[in-house]
Amino acid sequence: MMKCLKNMLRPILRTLAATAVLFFSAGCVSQTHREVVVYVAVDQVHAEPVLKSFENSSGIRVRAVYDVEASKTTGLVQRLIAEKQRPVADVFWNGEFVQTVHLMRRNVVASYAPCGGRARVLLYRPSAVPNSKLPRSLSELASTGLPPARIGLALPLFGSSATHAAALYASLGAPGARALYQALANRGFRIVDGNSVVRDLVAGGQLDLGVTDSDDACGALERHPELRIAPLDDAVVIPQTVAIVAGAPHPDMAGQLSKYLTGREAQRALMASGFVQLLQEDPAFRAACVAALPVPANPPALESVADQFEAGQADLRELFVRTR
Amino acid sequence: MAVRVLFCIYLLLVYSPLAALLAAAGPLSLDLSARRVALLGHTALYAGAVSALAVMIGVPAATFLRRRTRLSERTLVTVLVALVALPPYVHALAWNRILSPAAAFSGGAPAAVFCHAMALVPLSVLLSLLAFDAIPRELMDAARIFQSGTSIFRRVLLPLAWPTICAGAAILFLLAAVDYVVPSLFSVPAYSLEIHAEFSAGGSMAGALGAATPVACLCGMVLAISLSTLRRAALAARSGSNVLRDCPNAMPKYWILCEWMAAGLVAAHLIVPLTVLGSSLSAPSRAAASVAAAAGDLVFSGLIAVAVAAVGVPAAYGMARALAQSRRFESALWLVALLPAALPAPLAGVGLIALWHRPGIDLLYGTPAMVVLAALARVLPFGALILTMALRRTDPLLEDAATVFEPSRARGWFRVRLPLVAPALGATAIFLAALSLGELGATLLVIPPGAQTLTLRIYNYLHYGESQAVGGLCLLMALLTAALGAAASASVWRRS
Repeated sequence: MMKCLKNMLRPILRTLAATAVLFFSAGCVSQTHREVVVYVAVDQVHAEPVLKSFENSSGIRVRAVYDVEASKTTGLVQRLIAEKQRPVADVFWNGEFVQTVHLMRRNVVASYAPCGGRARVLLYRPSAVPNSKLPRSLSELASTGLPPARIGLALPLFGSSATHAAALYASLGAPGARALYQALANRGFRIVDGNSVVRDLVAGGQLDLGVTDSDDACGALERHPELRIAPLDDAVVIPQTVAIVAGAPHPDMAGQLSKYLTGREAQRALMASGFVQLLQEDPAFRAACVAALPVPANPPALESVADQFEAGQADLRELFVRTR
Repeated sequence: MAVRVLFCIYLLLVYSPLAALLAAAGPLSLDLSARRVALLGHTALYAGAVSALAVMIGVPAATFLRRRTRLSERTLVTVLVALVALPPYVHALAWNRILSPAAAFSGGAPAAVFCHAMALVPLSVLLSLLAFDAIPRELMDAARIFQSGTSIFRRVLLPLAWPTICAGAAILFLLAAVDYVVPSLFSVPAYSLEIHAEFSAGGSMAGALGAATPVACLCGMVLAISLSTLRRAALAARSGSNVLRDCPNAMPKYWILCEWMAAGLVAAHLIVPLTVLGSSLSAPSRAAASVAAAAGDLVFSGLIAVAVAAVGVPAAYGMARALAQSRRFESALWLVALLPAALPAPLAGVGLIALWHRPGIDLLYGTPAMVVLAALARVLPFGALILTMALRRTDPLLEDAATVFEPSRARGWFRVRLPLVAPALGATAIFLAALSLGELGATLLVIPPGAQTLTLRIYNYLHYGESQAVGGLCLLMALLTAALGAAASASVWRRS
């Protein structure tokens, strides 16, 4: 029996020892290399190749932490705030801008730069939604005659949906925006977890029309050519933001990475992979799937949108996170 | 003494993130508006419905598996635990794709309850198997003398298994109450979404903790109500065997019908995600490429799971012994053991950062050890409960004999106690490893830059819509858990 137990314990102890060495050494090895740490709230499948390309061209090792949609960017933002006194990250690469502006105001990031972005669009099935009935704005959507159970929206509490809502609060004013979202909440639309779910439900035929981001919509078009994209008059272009963390451990390399990510080469790569569809300041820089869409005119300033975020969120939680 | 030390380690692992969070957050802001109260009530009903449906499927499925199949306990545990590791969201998505053409399942509470319950069915079956396996053969033999036919099942088997079944229902309730991802898929409001929305909008830990307090109280109430059954489950008769197989005529006709229906649903549970995932492998080269790209994540996830099991089992044992032997403050101890499971995962992660990211004690911060700590904080309460129920199968007379006749406690431990509890420890290790593989919310907060778990990659690809990649990675996850389970059970069951 003792021999059996020893035989059982030996491999377990060996594994534990190897694991302990691995775990404790993982924090030590990195100090000796040229490296930069980036927290990435951009889809990993798009961001990873760009970061790899930077590694190959600069010789700087990139250590990334990727967010997941399930955490709604809250995860990485909270991590940055929690690490504020002793930052671990050098760069925060965000797929939208509101949280970046808030981090700037809390002195968690030292500076940021907007770059290529996405637009809020309609994704729909032309077989079910004729052109004559296609809504042109969220206001028209709120009063559409189309069956509400066949229309999908992402919860306007997180990510680009929340940013879109904040932009409407900035442009329409709080009473107007609240009335609009109240109408949307009361119509009986399918309110789902995120833009990717809207995309999947429209692509899968469970919905006829949905409001989503242009990267989700263009990706759906590639796999389901029978679908179409339509613009929203009250849409907003949501740029990415690349921010340098205040007190970054590797400020020089953070600067290099930031410059690379906001540069034309990285943005073209992101456009080719499907994450970015347009640049506000360069109308010629557009993805093919949104080439025909008009660029929203007179967009609100990023800071004024961020100003409306928290107040808007309080309203929207009242409207959407409730029993019916 | 050693058990007391393990008990203290359990408390440290589970409560230190919460303590650090409370210290960092400052005064909590509780806001119990009418909307939040209504939302909490709705969540309670939803979680109760999910738990009840999962139990209604799991219990007859367990009796079917024991009576009508020759599958060994090892095989059953390995397969069921492999299914537990798959994220519930993947199950829900798969069922949604299959059922959504039917109007009743296109959205809303009924569809959400069904799909969420189906995602929890493997756990329900596992807990039900534990319940029936604990029934001692002597009671069964006595019942057969005095009772006949269906009376044995109604008046002996089911009442004896009932405490553990109720304890299992409480666990399922807790899991359903703190999840918002699955209900959101069907547009069903969940209270946990309110916590995330509060966290996202204001970034305030105090606000998020205040928002989390009502659901933690709800889960605490459910645990408190089921405490009597939890205690009875823990203190019930200790030795068991497959009594169900020896009672072919003990089941009422309605129960036999339920067994076949439940077996069909469990088979569907196996087939639906595998079919949907498998059908998404229409481009095998793409799936293979994503699996190859995830090789590092696979190794990392496997090592994390092994570490969680290695550290978690002793700690869970310390708490399980305390739960089994406590006489004073029993109720409080059960609540202490299980309540942390109600804390939202991101808050546990923030607490770990507050605890470990300080000058002088940041040796572990930035290492994979933080991921192990995050997983332990999340899964240990379930491990303690499973181990408490599994330890019922050990014969206390043998332990007492070891105490009397062995010259030293250490020898008594290695020669008698450890072999006796090895199957229970093995089952708990597998369970902890499987649960840790699926941990997401706290892991994201503490994972070292440059590392990634398989679950993080799966959720990333889910969002992007890379169904081929998701299919390949989910199958890989299931294989990894099955391999862990098979390896552990081969070691444990061979020697028991």
